[in-house]
Amino acid sequence: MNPKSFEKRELQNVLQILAENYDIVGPVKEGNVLKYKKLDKFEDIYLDFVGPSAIPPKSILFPQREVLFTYELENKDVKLHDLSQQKPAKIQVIFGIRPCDAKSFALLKLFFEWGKYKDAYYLEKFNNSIFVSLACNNTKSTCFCTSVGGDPFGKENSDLQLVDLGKKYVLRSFTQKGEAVLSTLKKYADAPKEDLQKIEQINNDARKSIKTHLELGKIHEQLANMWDDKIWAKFSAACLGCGSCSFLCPTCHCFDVIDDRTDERHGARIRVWDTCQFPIFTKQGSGFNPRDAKLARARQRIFHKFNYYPTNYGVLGCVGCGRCICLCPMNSDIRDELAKVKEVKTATT
Amino acid sequence: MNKLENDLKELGKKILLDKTVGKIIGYSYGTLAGKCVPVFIDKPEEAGKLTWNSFCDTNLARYIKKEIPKEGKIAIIAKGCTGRAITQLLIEKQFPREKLYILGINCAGTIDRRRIANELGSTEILEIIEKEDKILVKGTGFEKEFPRAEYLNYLCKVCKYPIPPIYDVLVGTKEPKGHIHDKYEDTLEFEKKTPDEKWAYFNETLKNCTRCYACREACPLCYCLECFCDQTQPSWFCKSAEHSEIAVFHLVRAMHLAGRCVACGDCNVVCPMGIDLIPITRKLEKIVKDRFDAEVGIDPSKPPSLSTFCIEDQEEFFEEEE
Amino acid sequence: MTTIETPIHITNELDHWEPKIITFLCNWCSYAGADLAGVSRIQYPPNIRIVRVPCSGRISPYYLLKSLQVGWDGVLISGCHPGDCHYLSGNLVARRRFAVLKDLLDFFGIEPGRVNFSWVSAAEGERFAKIVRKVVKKIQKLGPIKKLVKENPFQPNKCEAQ
Repeated sequence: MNPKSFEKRELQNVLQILAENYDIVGPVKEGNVLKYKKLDKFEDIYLDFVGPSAIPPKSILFPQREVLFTYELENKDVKLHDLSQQKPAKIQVIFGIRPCDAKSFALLKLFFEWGKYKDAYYLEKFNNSIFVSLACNNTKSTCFCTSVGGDPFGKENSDLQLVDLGKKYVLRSFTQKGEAVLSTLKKYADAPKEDLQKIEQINNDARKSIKTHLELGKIHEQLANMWDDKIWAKFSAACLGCGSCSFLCPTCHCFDVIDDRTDERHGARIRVWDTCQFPIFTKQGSGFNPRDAKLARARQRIFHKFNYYPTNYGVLGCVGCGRCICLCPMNSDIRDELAKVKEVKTATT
Repeated sequence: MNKLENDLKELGKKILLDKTVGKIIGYSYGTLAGKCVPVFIDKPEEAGKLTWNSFCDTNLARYIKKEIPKEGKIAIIAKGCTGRAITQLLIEKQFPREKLYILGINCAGTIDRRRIANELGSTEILEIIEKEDKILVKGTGFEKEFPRAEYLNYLCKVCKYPIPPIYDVLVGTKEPKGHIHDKYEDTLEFEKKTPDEKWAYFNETLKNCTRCYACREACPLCYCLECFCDQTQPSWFCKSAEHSEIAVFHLVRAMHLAGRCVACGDCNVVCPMGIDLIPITRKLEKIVKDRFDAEVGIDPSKPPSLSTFCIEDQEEFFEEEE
Repeated sequence: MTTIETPIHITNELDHWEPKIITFLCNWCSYAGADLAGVSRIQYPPNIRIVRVPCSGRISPYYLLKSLQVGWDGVLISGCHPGDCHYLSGNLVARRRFAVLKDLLDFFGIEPGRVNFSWVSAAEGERFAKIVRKVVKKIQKLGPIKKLVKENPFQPNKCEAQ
């Protein structure tokens, strides 16, 4: 189907039509914080932000706290209520995420579906979601999506994309799921050719506005030879060992599983976010901790995204959103670190 | 570059050259406008990296314990609150005084960068220039001036001790800032609320907490090897971001910091969600002042308030028969 | 051996709500005082569930907070009078700790009546009963606890973003 275009003030009506068949999750501003919530009132939607939101939308499909199952003891029987079997009532449209965030959902999926045991909690929600990205007309100084294979108007994992043309929006689809959604918006006109040309022009301008250009090349091969390099100690000196970078990273997926007893006969197994940057993340039952040193954890972060992910899945594990740069309390800058890594001469450079 | 920064660089170079110290913990420029980062310098030629301005807001005292050398001394740039944290850590015997070389600085307060960023909304801060009593902020196609005094961090506005209580050398002048008679009006105003209003306030404030522990890691007085919330045997409280667990985490952390918190405000500055923890630090200061007539980190001879007792301690909250 | 029932998920046999108050009593004074009340047949409301600790100084803020989290409607902590502690200064150290905890809980908005402290000696059976009556009345007025109670995992997952 052709892309649809409509006046900006029509957005609420568009969402209203979609809401007949889907749940809508979109960005709202609560105080100073931009977050993604299920929308009941579409006038609350907030699309005037630049760059990605502070809180990543990964928490829609992978919440900080997720109950995996609950159990109840009845005499000698255990009744288990497995929440992975729960199907959401309606398909949800995740509206207004940045193209880097849309891509990040696909990167998370690579992890959650890898191997023999698939994570039903994430995959069930993923398969019941439709992703509508909001193209980036402007970028922040910390954005570097183009250095990691992305684009301000990137299409990866976007079923649909909303482009802001000033007075109008254009909604275009890239997948069959997206087509199905567009077909419910028949009352709106197809986007004229000038609109589509304007999209190209804004896209080029946005790409040019990105100030960071990293030539990463075959960084995962280079890293493979840098395990013992002195550079890791320098990167980690000021690091606090808090979870800010990981919790706000749209592609970080580590979690801990805890059992919570309500009383002698009831309880639940819950998963919560965890991060390799916590010193106790790798602490073993014996007390030994292979990543006791801060430099080991700093190294782990870079390796996981730029060596392990490419080695295991063939793609980089970073989408270049820049949240870790904006929000790190100690202003650790991953771009700086990657540039310094590239400068190091190893057997492969 | 101001004179203070110049003096600091010179002094830094000198004490590394003549081997008074083996390392300096100080501040340097970050990659984002208006952000200064901790820097660890062990070569005299690197002393040029040192900086001092109104964006040096982190409390460097947290790094001392890990950086204390086996031989020789380490230097640290200490503004008032950093110095108070150091004093409190010395009271708690966390490291020997002889290994520390404190470069005191008369701090004029740090800027609340987050407040400026919030007011600018989606406009990004690309450059910040400090003038006498104004902060000039530049973005894409835009410029705005903010009055310095108004946009200081709140705790800097009410700070009584801009100079650290102990130091080996003072960089800059000892010009007194003027002792502020702090009546804790903000805390008293808050306490006029009903319990339900207070609870609603904290629920609202804390609801974005993701349990990243940036506040705990940033705090110089949170140095436990195993934090209570990470304990598994027994597991008192769990790690999830559920409203009761979040409230309990902040409550217990406040409890553990009673009589030890120097109200530097670092926990507030580092929170990635922008949660306002100032009311809690202010209340902790007030409790200790009202009940135990104590001030944290000023007198190196006074033990922490909660590790001692007094026969005359107030017990007005105890139940009586009638 | 007393089994402490955690109050949530327990069906109430009564047709109205009655507060359940967890009570920490120091072994040497307050527990003995409570025992004296029992032996002397002094009646007091059955809403309290007693946990015996060696000294009020043993009581950690964790006990209080965990109790409120799992649904106890109130807490009562009692120890020896200052100066009479079996371990000399346990209750004096505890007094400061309780003061800070009470101030912080009030500050956070927990109703002041939920967490109570008292000094009861081994000879004060009547005093113990009076204090219990007072505390139960207080908490009956406040109603069942809602603040600080942990979320029930038996509710379905919310897909709402943080």
